[in-house]
Amino acid sequence: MEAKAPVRLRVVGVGNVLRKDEGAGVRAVRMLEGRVPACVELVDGGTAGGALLDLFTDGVPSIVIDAALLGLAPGSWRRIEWRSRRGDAGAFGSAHEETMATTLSLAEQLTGAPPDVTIYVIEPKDLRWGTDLSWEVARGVEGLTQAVADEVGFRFAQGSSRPATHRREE
Amino acid sequence: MSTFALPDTGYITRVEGHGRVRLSVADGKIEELFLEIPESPRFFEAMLIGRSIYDAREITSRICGICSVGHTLCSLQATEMALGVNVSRQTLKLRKLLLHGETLQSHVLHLYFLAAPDFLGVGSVIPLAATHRPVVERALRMKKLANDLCDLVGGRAVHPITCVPGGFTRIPKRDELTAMRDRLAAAIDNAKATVELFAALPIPSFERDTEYVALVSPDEYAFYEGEIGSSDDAPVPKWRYRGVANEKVVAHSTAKHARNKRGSYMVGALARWNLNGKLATPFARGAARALGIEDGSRNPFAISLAQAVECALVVEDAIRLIDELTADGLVDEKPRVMLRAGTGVGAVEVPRGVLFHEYTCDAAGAITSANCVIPTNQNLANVEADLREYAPTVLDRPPDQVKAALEVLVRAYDPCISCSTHLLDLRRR
Repeated sequence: MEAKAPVRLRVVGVGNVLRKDEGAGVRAVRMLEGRVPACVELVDGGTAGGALLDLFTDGVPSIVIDAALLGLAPGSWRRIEWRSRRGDAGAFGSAHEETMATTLSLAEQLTGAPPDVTIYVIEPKDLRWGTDLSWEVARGVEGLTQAVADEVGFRFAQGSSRPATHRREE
Repeated sequence: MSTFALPDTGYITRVEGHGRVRLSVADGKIEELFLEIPESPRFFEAMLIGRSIYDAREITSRICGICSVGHTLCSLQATEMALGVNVSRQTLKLRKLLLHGETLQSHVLHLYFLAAPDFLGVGSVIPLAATHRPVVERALRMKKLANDLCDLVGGRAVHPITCVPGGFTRIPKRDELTAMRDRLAAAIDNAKATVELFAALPIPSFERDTEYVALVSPDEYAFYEGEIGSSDDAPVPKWRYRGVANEKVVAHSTAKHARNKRGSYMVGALARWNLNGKLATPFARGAARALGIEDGSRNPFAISLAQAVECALVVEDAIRLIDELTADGLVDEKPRVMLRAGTGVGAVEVPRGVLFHEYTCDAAGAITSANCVIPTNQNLANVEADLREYAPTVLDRPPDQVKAALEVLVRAYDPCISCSTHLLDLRRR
């Protein structure tokens, strides 16, 4: 069997694909298949919450894609660097499926440094039960996915784990 | 969905379900006490209608990130019963091994991330990581082991992809299983340390007599195979689950309440232990002895203790299963399934209790009806009954301590819908 390339970057999509736009992160990761180098691990994190902690404690930089209520137009998205914005994380949410903020805070506590995580968040429109994305979010996911692919390409083109500049919004 | 705040939007919380205890007290007496659930996965069943029964396990694995293996396996049982498929002993053992991985994964999360902070009096696992670092590191080692076990057998740490009707699309290699066996053997000490930790923690002393329901088997401590057992009744086959989980709609919750022989019953680790403990491994029985529940318990706070016992049990039993699989020789079976019209029921012990799936499909395999009964729903009436009896014993405390005490009781059940910070709505007049 062919040996796997060492993982140099993870792209983690989180959310519930059965709650329409809530699953935007997982959809984005699926759309990235075949569009990133072999050293980039694509992870369908689903609603595992705290079970994903291991991904953020081994020193491998991560890009997380998630849906979040930001007060923006549906389908709009933002790029957030966890290291600079972690102080804004809210109080803990669900007790058993820990929020991403809880998971990243715990990772920081355990490793002694904030994890190198960049978060792409997209504004949902429809969170009812269902497997399809709203039209606005489906369109937004396309742009967001392209931005993540661009960032991945930029990181490795520069030979660095971090890009020098970022596209902030489509 | 995550919790984030942008400068001009304020904080938001997860959309995943939330539970809330509504307690109203007047003159020291309880006027109103409900566990409110604003939404539940039952909406989910409608999404299965018209879909291929072959795909049901993939859809249902998304009901819950923590119990995704259990939903997958329960779905497969129902699918295979509907299609008349019998699986091999190898498949059964691999599925039991996979389920042990999820049980360990979930119990470690609950014990160390939720129960331990409660019993140690700290707000969450984050301060615990500062004050009890070796304890948290042990939890993470156990969780990593459980994740890797699920990944090895299920193809992913969550939302498994290798399990299909009739068997597996990929089975672990012998050397992978052997390496996992070594890690499990090394984890025995971590399981012992978990038992020692919880034996030393102050568990509230409260008992209430109730009915316990879990899968039972004459051959083993049942997780994947068995009849539906009850502390109050003779076992019944799994296809009679509706007669056990008599669900009823209640006004304060979109989640239905369940009742069998009494007004409520308990499912989960303590129910399993109370009904199956005599068939547990010697290591697990020793753990139960150390935790004071060897002969069972009626204290709902002991659910955490039973989870600690089950951590020991599943580690030991996973080693046994790997030994049997490697001794038998692994065969790369090719699952073949023919579609037909039928009805099937699945019953699997997931971390929080017995889970039921039932599907009916037509000759083309399209699902025409579906029903899922999840453990948290089955426990809701029992949690409320416990709260009604427990609350009067703590009402002399300041409101914040009443709130904290009742939240600890709800969290002891490890409910899927719990919300650690906004659980209790306490009104005192």
